[in-house]
Amino acid sequence: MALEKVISVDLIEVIENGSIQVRTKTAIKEDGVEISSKFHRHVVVPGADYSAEDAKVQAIAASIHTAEVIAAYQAA
Amino acid sequence: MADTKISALPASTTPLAGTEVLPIVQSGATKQVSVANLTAGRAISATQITLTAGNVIPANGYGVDFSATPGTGTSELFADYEEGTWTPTNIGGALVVVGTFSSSGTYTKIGKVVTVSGTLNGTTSVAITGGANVVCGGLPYSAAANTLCAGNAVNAAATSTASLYANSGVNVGSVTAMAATASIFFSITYLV
Repeated sequence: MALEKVISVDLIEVIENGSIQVRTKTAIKEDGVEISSKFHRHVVVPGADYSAEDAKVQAIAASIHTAEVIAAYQAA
Repeated sequence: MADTKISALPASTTPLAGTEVLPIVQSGATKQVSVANLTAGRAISATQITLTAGNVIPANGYGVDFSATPGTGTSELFADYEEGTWTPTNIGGALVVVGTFSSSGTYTKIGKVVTVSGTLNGTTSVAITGGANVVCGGLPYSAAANTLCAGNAVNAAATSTASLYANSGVNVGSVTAMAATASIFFSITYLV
């Protein structure tokens, strides 16, 4: 019986104001079969430092967090 | 194979795997269909469904449609439920931390409504200065624009409360001040 803990970003959502909602899943697997899991969420808002984010989140943020989007978010 | 009544055949082993086949008549021709494909892609009508094990798993964007029930609204589709954790962040502002800051939080999202709870700690103390300032950030979902949703906080000794709110974005604000305490516990329900 082998237990392993697998942490992954399993959901990335971009909402209208440019914020990126990130869900991280922590799964416990027994012999490769998931027996338990939980979610943790955070949001990367336009203008926030995303250098420590998952690579996919970084790529999305680099694409959509333009100066215009950041300015519009901060002005809202 | 000699003719045998269906009732005389041996009983199958359950649960079925889905790969078993049944004979059907389609457009006048006898064909076979697997158990798995018997209802695939078809609407199913029943008076009641009881699940003895397992869950109802709607595809993304689908859920439980209440449009046949009385009343109307902007949406009658219950398409999302989620529970999890979040981490309130100290971004300066109205939260005054003495010592090392730590925090934790949980959330429950039902449709467009999110209820969060959180705990803010300081190894020596935490306090809130009043005046509609930001207490913490890090909400698990970005709050909808042009909404202002209220919540409450209580200190560790349960002797003082403060009024909090979530505005558009991911920050929690406070309307009232709270004196230094070991921990601040709060809950807010807001819209996304």
